[in-house]
Amino acid sequence: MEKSLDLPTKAFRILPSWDKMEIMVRAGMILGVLFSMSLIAFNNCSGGFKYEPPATSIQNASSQCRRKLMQEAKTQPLPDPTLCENAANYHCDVRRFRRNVGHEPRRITQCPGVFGRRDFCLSVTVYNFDTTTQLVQAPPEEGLDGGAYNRDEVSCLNTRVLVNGIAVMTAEGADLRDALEKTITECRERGLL
Amino acid sequence: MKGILFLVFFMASALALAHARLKASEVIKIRSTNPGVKSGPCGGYPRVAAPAVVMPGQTLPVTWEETIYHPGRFEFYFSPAGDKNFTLLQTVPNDQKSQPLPHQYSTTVTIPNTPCNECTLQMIQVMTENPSNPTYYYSCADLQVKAPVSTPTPTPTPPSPTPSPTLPPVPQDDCSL
Repeated sequence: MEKSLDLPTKAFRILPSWDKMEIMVRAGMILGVLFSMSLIAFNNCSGGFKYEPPATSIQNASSQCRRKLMQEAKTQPLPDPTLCENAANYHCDVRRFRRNVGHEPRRITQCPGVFGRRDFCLSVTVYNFDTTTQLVQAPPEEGLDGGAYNRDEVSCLNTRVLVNGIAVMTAEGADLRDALEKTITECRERGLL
Repeated sequence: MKGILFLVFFMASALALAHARLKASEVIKIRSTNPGVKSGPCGGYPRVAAPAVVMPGQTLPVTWEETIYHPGRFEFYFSPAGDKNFTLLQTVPNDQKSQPLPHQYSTTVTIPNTPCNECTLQMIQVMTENPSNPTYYYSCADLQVKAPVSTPTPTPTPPSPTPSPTLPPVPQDDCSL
């Protein structure tokens, strides 16, 4: 039994290197065709929104252009409202402007307790901006909690609801729960259209 | 006493650092010294009492500073009235990452040819730490665009053989998605 299983491997080993290459190329082509077919099937069944990686040119669209797109998207109904309820569909960025926080970004998982749900946990990227130097020169009020150099700025987005590759469900807030609840609410409102 | 108060106010204004904001000048009358304005188009601040008066098509020098570096760019827009219908004038990349803070920037923008009484120059800092989720700071300055008063000429001048210079066109809308 062991010998019969071992035969194809041995046969492969004794093939000349050119033949090995040909077999590998053919296998690659078959896998490629299968992958393409599965992609076409997914796109045909996924409803109006396309879950595609953002194109570079669209990513560079002006802020005005993004705003227009998002305003237009608000009038379009969401084909699948369950997209709003899955924590894995959300991501938040926290820009932390604080004294002595260093400059290194880090990625963490947070469960901010949105709408009282402790199980709603998501990926958060924290960008640290050490404002120690700025606070030396800034007026005192900018160093108070919530001041320009002593605050967090949080923005969240639903990563699955895209129009032309741009996330259209986004919201900002002063803390993680606030920003995320706003984003979820916006998504749910679209689901009710 | 008034002089001392003015000096204190001037020094406080000069030290009011922003994440990024327009700097005041003779032709840039900023609407607010509040740093890090997060809500557009101008943070809800009222217009200034004495906006800068410029000519149609005039080229304005604009300076601004950034006290905390963010990857991204600065976009300059012009609104003819009511902080609405902004058109993109210019985009400047944020290219001073390696320079010491605060970063000092300058550029020139060409004002549109149509006169207006309540026009706004807006700067938006587009921050792209996460390119899929850009965030913004807003800064505005108030303008009046007025054509110069023409004085009647006593003697008619012969038509010039060379065409008059044309001003650069202003892009109406860059959004072609």
